[in-house]
Formats: sequence, C-alpha cells, structure tokens
Amino acid sequence: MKLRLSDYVKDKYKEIILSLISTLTIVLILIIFKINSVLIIFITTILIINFLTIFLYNYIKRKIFYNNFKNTLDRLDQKYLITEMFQNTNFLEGNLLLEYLYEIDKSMNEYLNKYKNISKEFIEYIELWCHEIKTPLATLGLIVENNKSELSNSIKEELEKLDSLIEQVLYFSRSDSVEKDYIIKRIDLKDIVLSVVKRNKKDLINKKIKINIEDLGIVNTDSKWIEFIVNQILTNSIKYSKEKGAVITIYSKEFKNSVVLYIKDNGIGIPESEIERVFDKSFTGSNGRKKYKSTGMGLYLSKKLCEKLGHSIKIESKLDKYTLVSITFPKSSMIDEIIKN
Amino acid sequence: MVKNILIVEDEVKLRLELKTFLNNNGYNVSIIDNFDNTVRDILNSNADLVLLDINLPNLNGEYILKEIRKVSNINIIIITSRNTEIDELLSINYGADDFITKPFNKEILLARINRLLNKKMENNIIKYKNIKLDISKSIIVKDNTIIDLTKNELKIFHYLIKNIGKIISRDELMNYLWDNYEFVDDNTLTVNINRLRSKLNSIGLNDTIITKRGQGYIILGDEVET
Repeated sequence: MKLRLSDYVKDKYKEIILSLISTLTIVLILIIFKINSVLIIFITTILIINFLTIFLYNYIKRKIFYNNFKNTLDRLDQKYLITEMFQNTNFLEGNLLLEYLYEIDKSMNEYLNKYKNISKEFIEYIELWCHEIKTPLATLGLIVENNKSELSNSIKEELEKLDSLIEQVLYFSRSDSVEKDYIIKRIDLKDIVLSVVKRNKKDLINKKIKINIEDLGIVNTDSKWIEFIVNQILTNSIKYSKEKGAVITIYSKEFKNSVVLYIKDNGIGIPESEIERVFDKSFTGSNGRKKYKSTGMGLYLSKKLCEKLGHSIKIESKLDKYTLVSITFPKSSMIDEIIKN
Repeated sequence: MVKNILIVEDEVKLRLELKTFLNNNGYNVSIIDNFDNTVRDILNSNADLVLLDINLPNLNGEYILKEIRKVSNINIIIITSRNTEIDELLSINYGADDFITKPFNKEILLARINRLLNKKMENNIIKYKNIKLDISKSIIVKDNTIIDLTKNELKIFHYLIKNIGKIISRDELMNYLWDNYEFVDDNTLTVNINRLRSKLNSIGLNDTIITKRGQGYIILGDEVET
C-alpha cells in the first residue's frame, strides 16, 4: 500500500477540524472587534493558505519518504536488508522508524542464527552418522560373504537397500547445505550410466529387463552426484516396469547450448493428474502407494541436486505406455575454460 | 606366489572379517592392531599392498600416507566411508594408488586389489587342447586357422575355460557379463552361446561346451595352461 492523499486527509481529520475551529474562532474575534471586513477576509485567506501549505508540505515529505521506502523494499529480495539501504532520512519519524527496524532486524537475526546453528549441527551430525554406519554395514556385508548360507543373498539384498537408503539421507543433507561439496568436471555420461546399470544388475536380470544404451555424450558435472541422480531414476524405471517385455533405453542428444540425457522406459507410466507433482517432496502418487514402498524422496532429491549443479530435470509420461526423464546439462564455455586450466 | 596384504583398520570386527575374506580369496593377510607406530609398522611389514583406513583414531590417515610416500612406493588402497569426488581427489593427491568406499562391493574390492597386484601377471593367451585363446586379440588360433570372436563370445568362452571342469549356471554367466558391462538378456545369451558353439564346431571342437540341463554349462577338462 502506498501513501495516498485521501487516506492522509482521513487520518488527519482531527487536525483539520482543530485548525478550522481555531480559524473560525479568530474570524469570530475579529468580527467582535469590528475589524474591517476586507481585512478579515485577507487574514482568513492567509490563515487557510498557511494551513494548507504546512499540511501539503507534511504530506509531500512523507509521500516522498514512504514511496522511496516502498520502492526500495520492492526491489529487495531479502526485505530485511532495508535497514542497510537508508542511512539518514533527514526527518525525525523516518529516522525513528529506521532505528526501530534495525532493532527488529537484529533480534530476528539472532533468532535466525540460533536456528541456523541448530540446523547446521544437525546436518553435520547426520553426515557423520551416515559415514559411521557404513563401517558396521561393511562388516555385516563381509560376515555374510564369509559365511555363505541359503540366506546370504536375501541378507545381501537387504543390506544393499539399507545402503541406498543411507545414501539418500546423505544426499538430502547435502542438498540443503550451503557448502559446495561437489566438483564439476568433464564427465563421460557413458561411465556413469554403465556403473549405475551394473549397480542394478540383480534387479534388471531378475525382472528380465532389456537395457539399451545408445550414444552418450560428455558433460560438465560432479560424477558422484550425477551417479546418485541417475540411479534414482533408473531404480524408478525398474520399480515401475511391466512384468513382460520391459525395456529401458538410455541415450543422450547434443544441442547447441546443452547436452540432454534421456532415460526412457516402457513401464506403467504416471497418470496425467499426478505428473505435475512427482518432484514434490514426499509425493508418492497412486503408483507408489499401490504396489511398492515408495518414500517419495527420489525424484524430489534428484531435482534439488540437479538445480544445485545447474542442470535441469524434466519428466513426461503416458499412463501404461512410457516414462521419459530428461536431464539437461547446459554447455558453458566458461566452465570448459576453467576445467581446461 | 601368494601376495601379502596388510590391513590397517581400527574396527576390530571389520578387519577380522576383511582378513577372512581376503584369505578365502587367496591372499596372505596381516593386521596392525596397535596404532602407536603405524608408519613404521607399515614400512616394516613387507606387504605387497596396504589397505589403509583413512579415519584412524587419533591419527591422520593423510599424514600416514604422506610419511610413507616419502620413503616407499608400496601399493596403498585407501578405505573410507566418505564417497565424494573431493575425498577421492585428496587421497590420490596424497599418494594413494586407489580408493574404496564402505560398504565394500566384493567384486570391486577384489578387482582393485588384483589390478594393483597382478598388473603384469595376467596372461593373455590360454591354451586348451590344440587351440590357443588370445584374449587381447579376441581370437582363437588353431594351427593356421584364426577365428574372430565377438566381445560377448570371448567373455563367455574365457569364463567357462577359466572355470574348466565346473558347472557354470546361466545366472552366473549373466552376472559375469554384466559385471563386465555387457548387459545381455536371456535370449542374447542363448544366441551368443549358439554362435560360439558353431564357431568351435567349425574348427573341429564339437561338444566343447556341454549343456547340463537345469544347471548350466561346462567345459570338461583339467586346469588349462596359461
């Protein structure tokens, strides 16, 4: 809302009435003392002009200040930085307002910092925990390997699930951290895709899913992060594959300003009504709820990590026909230049 | 010759299981259980390869790595639970030969160890009956006849011949191919086996690959010469 004259007048109606009363009183006194009527009109006019001038002056001063304040506020992404934009307003109310705002900001910042610290400590602890738990997991894996029984494969499968769930937690905590814990390098998508397919060989072989890997390009990304993302997408394609004749095709295309990686399956697809929400946190959809235990975190995390890396991720699907996920890696001569050096 | 591996890992249970696992896979394994003089112990160990946990208690794995590299170029594989690109780069910069993350994938663990230890030992020619299988050229040589094998055919034949006298299930064969980045399906495997058989037939090696119904395939014979 901006300062408008009508509102200002409404707000100041008491002052206006008081001024009118005092003007009338003066006029009345002048009449009682039988002053020349021309002089009375003259004095009254001066009084009114005087009042209007002061009134308008006050209005314009405020109007300029508040308009300026509001415009600056609108331009700011972080509104609380407004106190940094004004040092001195050249009028008392403005200065008082700034002083109070500064105090409010300060108290809010203290509050915010408290929570930032709590959240940072929590993230650090989660990261540590994820690393710590890998030692017992590694030990368990070796115990199973060293003592083969008919249960070994089943236990191994569960251990792998545990590992991938822990991996999700780890990347979730990374997706929000301000620290940059990735390295962008020239990466051959083929290495990433081969490694992810190999990681999922057990499910792919068991479900008799045919894998087609076509030409794959070279992109700028972090190999570990992109491997995690591609793995999330591939495991979805496996999870939601049809029982017969399942095919997953992975290919990439080069465009003028980008390289795009496509992962296409001929699985059960996603209903049109749900496709908009698949990247939402904890969204499981009818597929996720129907048959499979879905956390609703895979695609959400993939998108978040993609954004942090400067990639974009899209999904299109036709129910009962296919799902196509595409990841766009922008080409950047600047990044290429940095990597070369 | 049996190779010696030294495990430097503070988790008692993990290092014992790791020792058993590596013993089972044909390595001599020793262990450090006191970390007062780790650098000296590693240098005095005569090991062919060291598995070094980078996060030892009260000790900086990177420091150990640097100290060892000052005087020795012994094979070192770093064990870590941190799996970022940055950690990997750092370890390699400090002089590690390789890097493996917990929890271990047994194939990857063995592959990395083998890569460092058997660099020059892998023989590329296997003799079976009156033929030679040349792995690097992907051919079978019999007298003056040369037969080209496709990638899949080579891998299948190589695996069966390496496991001569043992029944190899289709599942195992498939897993082996996938481990080597050949993502074949059931039909392709059948086609590949048939083609391989007809190629073998063409040089008089009929019935080399025998089908054991419901179990898998086998090449009969004793150990092959390499």
